[in-house]
Amino acid sequence: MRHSITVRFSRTPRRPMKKKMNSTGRKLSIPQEIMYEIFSWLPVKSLVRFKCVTKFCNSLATESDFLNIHVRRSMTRPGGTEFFSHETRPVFYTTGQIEDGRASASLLQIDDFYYHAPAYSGLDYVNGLFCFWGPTFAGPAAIFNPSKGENRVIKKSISSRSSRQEVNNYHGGSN
Amino acid sequence: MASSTTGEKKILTLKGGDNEEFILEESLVLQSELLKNMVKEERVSSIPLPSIKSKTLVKIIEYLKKHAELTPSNKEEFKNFEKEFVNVVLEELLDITVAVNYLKINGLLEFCCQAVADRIKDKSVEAVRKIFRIESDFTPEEESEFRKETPEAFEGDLDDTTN
Repeated sequence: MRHSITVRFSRTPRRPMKKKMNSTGRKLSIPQEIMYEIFSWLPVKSLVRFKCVTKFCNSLATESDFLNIHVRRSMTRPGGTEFFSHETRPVFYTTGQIEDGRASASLLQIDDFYYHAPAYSGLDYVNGLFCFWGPTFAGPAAIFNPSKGENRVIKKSISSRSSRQEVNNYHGGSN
Repeated sequence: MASSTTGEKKILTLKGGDNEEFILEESLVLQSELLKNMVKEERVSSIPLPSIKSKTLVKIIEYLKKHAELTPSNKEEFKNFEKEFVNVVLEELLDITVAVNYLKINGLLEFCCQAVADRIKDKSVEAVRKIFRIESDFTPEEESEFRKETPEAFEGDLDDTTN
């Protein structure tokens, strides 16, 4: 069964678009609205890498409107990440880049954790990372990083709100 | 004033940045939200587009023609055309993207942005700054912090900005 992730909309206002001349004054820089659009098609890995291009690029990585668009696009573009769920556990499937006309794919799975279907309410997406949690009997909450194929268990029992916090902390530490 | 011809195809003139004129059927430019509004509301028959180079305009008109001919049976051919369409040097692709954004041709904008993203995804931070013609607005301290933390983001060929 294919499981789609609920996209949350929060009301972070988009920054006002500024046009800027570069030091030579010859050619206008690419408007931020276009950079926004281009960046929404980048793989997570590149987004993290380009955080140090400018403050605007840095701000995208924490802007929820942008991240919502980004996760939707990641699910449709070639080479994006697709998400499937199994009866009892989440499975991530990333279609790799098409090289030499052949599609390469990899299957990433969180093997260590078993979740019962109702536990799926505890699935969230923050900054390109996924967090799972459920009732105590379902095991500890976990964070999964699709771009690196890593996952990490959060040892202590936590609520959904602090899960998001943990994901943010983990994200900060992984860059 | 718009031409008063009824029944015949309406003709529109687009003027590129270097005053070169392009005469085309009005129905073609309706794919651009910007031009559509100009044509519908202001009933113009000639539209100056001083910010768009003629070279760029030629490419966009080429796309509009192909897209207008798109039917379920030539979908494959159109896909190949799209692939070839973005197969230009990066600077030219960005010129096209900026113009398409201005003209509000939505499908093409998405496609161009996707193509740019694909071309820049492995480039260095410096190369990306060069490509977008932007400069770092971080303090020198923040900048050196980034370089220390993620040196790999700054690796790569600095002149690698055209492919």
